[in-house]
Amino acid sequence: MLRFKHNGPRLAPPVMMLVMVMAAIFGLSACTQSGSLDIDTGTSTASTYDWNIPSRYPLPIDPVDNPMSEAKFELGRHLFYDIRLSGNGTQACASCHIQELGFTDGRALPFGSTGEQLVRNAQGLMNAAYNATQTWANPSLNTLEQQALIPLFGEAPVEHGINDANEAEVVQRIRDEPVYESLFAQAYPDLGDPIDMLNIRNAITSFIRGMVSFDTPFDRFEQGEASALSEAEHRGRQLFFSEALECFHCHGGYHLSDSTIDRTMSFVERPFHNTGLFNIGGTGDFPENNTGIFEITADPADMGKFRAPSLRNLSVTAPYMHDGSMQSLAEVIEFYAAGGRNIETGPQAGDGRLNPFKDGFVNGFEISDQEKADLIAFLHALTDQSFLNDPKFSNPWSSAP
Amino acid sequence: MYKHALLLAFAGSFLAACSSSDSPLNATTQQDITLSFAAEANNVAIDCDTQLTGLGTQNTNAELRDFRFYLHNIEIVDNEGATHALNLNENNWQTQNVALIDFTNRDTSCGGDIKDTRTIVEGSVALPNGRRIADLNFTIGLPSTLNHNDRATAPAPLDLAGLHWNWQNGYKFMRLDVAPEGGITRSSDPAFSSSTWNFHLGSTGCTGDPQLGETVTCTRPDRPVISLSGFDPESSEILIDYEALVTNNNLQLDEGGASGCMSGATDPECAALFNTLGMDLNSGASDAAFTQTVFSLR
Repeated sequence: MLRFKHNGPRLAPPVMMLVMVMAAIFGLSACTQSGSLDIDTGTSTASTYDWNIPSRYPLPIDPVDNPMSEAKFELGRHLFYDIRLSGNGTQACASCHIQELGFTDGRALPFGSTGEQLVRNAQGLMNAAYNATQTWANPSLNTLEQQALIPLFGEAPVEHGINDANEAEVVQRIRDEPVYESLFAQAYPDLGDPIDMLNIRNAITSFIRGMVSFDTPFDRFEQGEASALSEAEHRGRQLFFSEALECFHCHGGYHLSDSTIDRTMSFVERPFHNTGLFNIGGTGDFPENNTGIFEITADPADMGKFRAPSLRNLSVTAPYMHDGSMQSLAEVIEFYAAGGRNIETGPQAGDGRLNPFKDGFVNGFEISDQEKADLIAFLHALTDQSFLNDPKFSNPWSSAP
Repeated sequence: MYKHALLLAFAGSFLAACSSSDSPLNATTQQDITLSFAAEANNVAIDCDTQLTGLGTQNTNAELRDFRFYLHNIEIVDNEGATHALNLNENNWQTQNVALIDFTNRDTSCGGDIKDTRTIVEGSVALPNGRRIADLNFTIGLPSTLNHNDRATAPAPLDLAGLHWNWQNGYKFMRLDVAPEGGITRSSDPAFSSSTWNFHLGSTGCTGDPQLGETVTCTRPDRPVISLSGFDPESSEILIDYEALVTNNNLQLDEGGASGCMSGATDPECAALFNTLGMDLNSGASDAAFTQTVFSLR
């Protein structure tokens, strides 16, 4: 069943629902005839935007109310790197999302513009357009447009620190920068006065949506270039996709995450997993300020469940886990080999291996030092050096704005 | 000072000839109504410049940080028990039959410049001729049809960053924040410290992607339904009693979750607050087991 209308007039949700019901009744032909996009071939796009994605991979969703364009991407890039886009003028998106670190910040936990420390590790942004949900753990957040408002306007914790009292001032700072006048005009050619928070937000999300990364040794190997992986990387790949290690159940597919959405999909899953990091008091609890999607659903079975992030560019995104509590890939592999983490003392004491809500695929495994080295070699082969160095995603300001 | 404007459209008797209905049994009169709200705690009017005293189980003193809420589904009940929707005027404080009430008279969490407040709701009701107004019903918050829209494109008063709850994919229906004297501690965690005791009410457990044509649904709607008997639009004032809301809470302590209550279904501070609003915390709905004591008429 096809759900997206990419071409033709935009349908109001009730009409959309009707179209979907009609499609279900009359079969898919009704849907394709009505103009909805069918299975993507890698060349068809909602907009004329060139995603620069290899043809074997499906394209991300291109939202009808914020379609991609090169001009919007370029505007978003300038805004992404602009510290003026914060309440006190000290923090840009790029402050915590640094290109050479796979758009993470290298810290266990980042800090907001007012000095408040966050409770979750800054995530890499490559291929964020393919995440079925955004952030570490929130089943409510499905789009980058929804997500972007959280760092910009969030109060608990404060990140960029924009609020009702300073929003107009922040927008005025953007208006006052002469570079933006033409960038906004090109990005929003149909609007007379496009510099506002809506268009700022939409341009930033277009930039992030356009941060695609598929040029790794792993991708080249999967495309048939056998020599793209060394022998060690190849052995590591076999371990990664083995039933013994089970890595691929949560980190499989081209996105290397089971939380994936693209425009070919007819049914979207939004999975979350408890990997046994904690078991405070033996009742399955995670630290009270970081309980995963339990925070949103209040369903006891959701305690400690987080989205499996894509593993692309993993070699440069340490430290790991939602709380940045693991420093190295070796530590991460040992954690999964043990089937969870046993914390023996302190307020967080508890044997995570016995967490009652732990995912069924985190059962532990035997792994030799050689196998561990091979697996780490493979994980390093998920690094996209051209993405990490692509000037297209780099800071466009010649001097700090 | 909160006197009530009742602009009764006496025109009813004169306009009868123009009514679309010829039957006098179905004739109605359009009547303008203004609801006036007052907010107090222990008989002290609430604003940013007045210390609130004697709050909760520890008779805590506190300064205001925020005091705003949305309401919708406003109904006039007539003397025969029939309900009639109050259709709200469109302005910066009201849209699509949702109104914002705001007692926060300074910006930047009461720390900044003087700003406008809003203590009235303006609308009109089509009342059957011969009936009189008896009671008033309203629901706190936004209806689900508006709760998940994009704030960046929403009209006033649905465009306020401080009331949009991006993390819950919706709005804060009610935001009542105070800074208790002496701050807030947690008995289980000596390192815990907070300056504001917040009450953020909003739907939680929401899932569904509008972009995929999915309807967003929430496991806990958290919309208190308030029914007030004996409403006289000419003389009644709707009183919100903050002390009644927090009367069973200790404002110097937070035993878990967000400081105060941000509608977390397992937040130890939430149950008492929900109960004073007539709601059950687990269902997130008004429940006959609890009588709301926060809103009253005077």
